Amino acid sequence: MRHLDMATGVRYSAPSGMETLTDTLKNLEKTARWPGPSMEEWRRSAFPKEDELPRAAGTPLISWEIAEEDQDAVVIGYGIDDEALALFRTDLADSQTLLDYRHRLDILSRPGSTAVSIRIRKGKVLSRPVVLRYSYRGRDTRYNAHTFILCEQEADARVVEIHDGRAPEMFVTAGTHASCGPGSRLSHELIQNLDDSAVFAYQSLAQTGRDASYRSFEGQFGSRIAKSRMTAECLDKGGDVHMNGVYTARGNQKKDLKPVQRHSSPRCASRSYYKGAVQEDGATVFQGIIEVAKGAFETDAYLSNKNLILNDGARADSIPNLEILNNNVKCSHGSTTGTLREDELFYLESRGIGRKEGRAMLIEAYIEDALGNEQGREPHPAVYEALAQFLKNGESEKP
Amino acid sequence: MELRIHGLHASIEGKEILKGIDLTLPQGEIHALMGPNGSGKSTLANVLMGHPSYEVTGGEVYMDDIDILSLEPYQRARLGLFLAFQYPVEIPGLTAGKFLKRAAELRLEDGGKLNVSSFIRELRAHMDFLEMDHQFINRYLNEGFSGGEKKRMEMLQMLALQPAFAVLDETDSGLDIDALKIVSKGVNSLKGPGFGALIITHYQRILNYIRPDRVHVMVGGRIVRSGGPELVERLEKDGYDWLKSQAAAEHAKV
Ligand SMILES: Nc1ncnc2c1ncn2[C@@H]1O[C@H](COP(=O)(O)OP(=O)(O)OP(=O)(O)O)[C@@H](O)[C@H]1O
Ligand SMILES: [Mg+2]
Repeated sequence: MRHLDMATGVRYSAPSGMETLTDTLKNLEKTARWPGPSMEEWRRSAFPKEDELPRAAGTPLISWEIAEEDQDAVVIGYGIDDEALALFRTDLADSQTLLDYRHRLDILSRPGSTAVSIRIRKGKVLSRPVVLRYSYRGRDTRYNAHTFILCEQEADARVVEIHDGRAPEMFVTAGTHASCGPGSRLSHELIQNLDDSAVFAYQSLAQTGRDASYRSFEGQFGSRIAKSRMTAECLDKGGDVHMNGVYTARGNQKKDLKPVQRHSSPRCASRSYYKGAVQEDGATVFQGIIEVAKGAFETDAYLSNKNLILNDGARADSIPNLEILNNNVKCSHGSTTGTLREDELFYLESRGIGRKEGRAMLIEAYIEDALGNEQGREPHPAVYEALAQFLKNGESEKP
Repeated sequence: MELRIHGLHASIEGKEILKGIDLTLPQGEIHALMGPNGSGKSTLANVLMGHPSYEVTGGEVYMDDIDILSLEPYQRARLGLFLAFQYPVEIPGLTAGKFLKRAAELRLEDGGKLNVSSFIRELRAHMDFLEMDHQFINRYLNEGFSGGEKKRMEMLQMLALQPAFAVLDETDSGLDIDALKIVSKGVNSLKGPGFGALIITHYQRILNYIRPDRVHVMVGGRIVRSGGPELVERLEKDGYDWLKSQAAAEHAKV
């Protein structure tokens, strides 16, 4: 069983029945296949075959920002230490494909270069977000990056994780493991704005200890194909999870997102709220799911997905799911799809705002409430930069 | 400046609504436009502003020597035409403040730069004048506003944008008596040589607060009668029937 150390909230014992990490990986290699249309989750992803992707491996440029006054509260580790290794193991529970296997193998075989751990010390409240940026720069190159966030008991932090880079034809796999100690508050924000030719696969697992609060935001803007699965698992009572997401697709971009609200313990609450906007020939898939384990009674979970389709030919599929193995829960989901309204555009125009600008304003307004991950909290500027590209690209089109 | 409407015909979904409107509104004057439900008053307002659903099938509209029918709605707005909507839309996610600031910026001459702090100061003063809570500009545009609050937001925009011509489409409908006085105060405060207004209304009561220079009556997509303020009293007393039958008779003659 996965286990969260209640003292620090960061230590894991190895999952029972598992031998060494190497053995586990070997097993994964035997059973796993490269993701493809025969797997339900990947059916709509249009994910390339392995031999269609670059082989040469590269190392991203990694940079971070921590406020001066927070220096003592945060420990940054480069590579995988024992603690991170323990977390890494629990990650394997979510692994399904050969892609995951390769990703993990790659990180393990190149320690010290592709993994970063961020540890927020017990009881510390950060004054500013920690911003971690992975920049990818090599054309036709494959990258792996893994981030470990350890938010210790009663700590309060915001971590912004940015993946960007303009080189053509990159293939990036990335993963994050976040461990939220008892009573801690962690906000984890992922912003992906890779070159339009990139292929991006992302997987995260966040686990909450007793009365911990986990907020996530994912902004999926760049890449030709982006597949993401962010899982928030409530491991102990009183967990409170909010997952927000915004995704856009233009040109021929494809996005496939799957936030997972996993309730493994009773009396936890989770919300996810995802909004997408598609234009030109862009296509998105949303497959968010609420999973309630046996015994996770008094779960309160809600899942919402809304999509804005900006022209004929753009496509947004919304397939929210519930998997509930328990009575005595409150779970529901909803999804809507809409287009821009002519009367709203006209209203803006009647105040002197041109059509293109009005259109951009309305798209921004549409996704506004999913942009931050907490009321009144400003999203990182990288979100607006990425969004501006999407809004600018739609200008040629007259709705 | 003068807003001149001449022989204006317009239709929606192939159905002709405006059947030849003639109306001239000079700056410095306030005109009232009345008429039964469905006679085409909102259609005229929308066509003046350039709503894309309506097709202009004949006639012309000039602001001085500028043919505004050939302009996009935003260009008309930048020239100083303003429409207070009968049913203002709600735009969740867009704060009233951000929207107003952008609209005010665009009203400046090319290259003009908005002085944000004085803009905010003026906006607050306008809100005080309209007895609006300052919090309104932090809320999403019209979202969850009551009917009267939406109308006040329209008036706030009018005061902030200082248009050359304003068309008020039933801004008085659904207002309580205090709000009505405030809205009237707003219009009266702009009254002067640089401002003309066309007030579309069903009721005499707003015209007790805003003295119109002329009153026009629209029936079946035509202006069937124009006159002074005394026309309002006649309508209040006798309704529209006498004009309807008169209009029908005239139409039959043609
Ligand atoms: N989309 C449409 N298709 C067909 N007819 C329409 C459409 N929109 C409006 N009309 C018709 O146009 C006519 C004029 O409507 P308009 O809203 O201009 O009237 P109005 O004078 O403003 O009425 P009210 O006093 O009730 O506001 C009405 O008969 C209305 O049904
Ligand atoms: Mg009307």
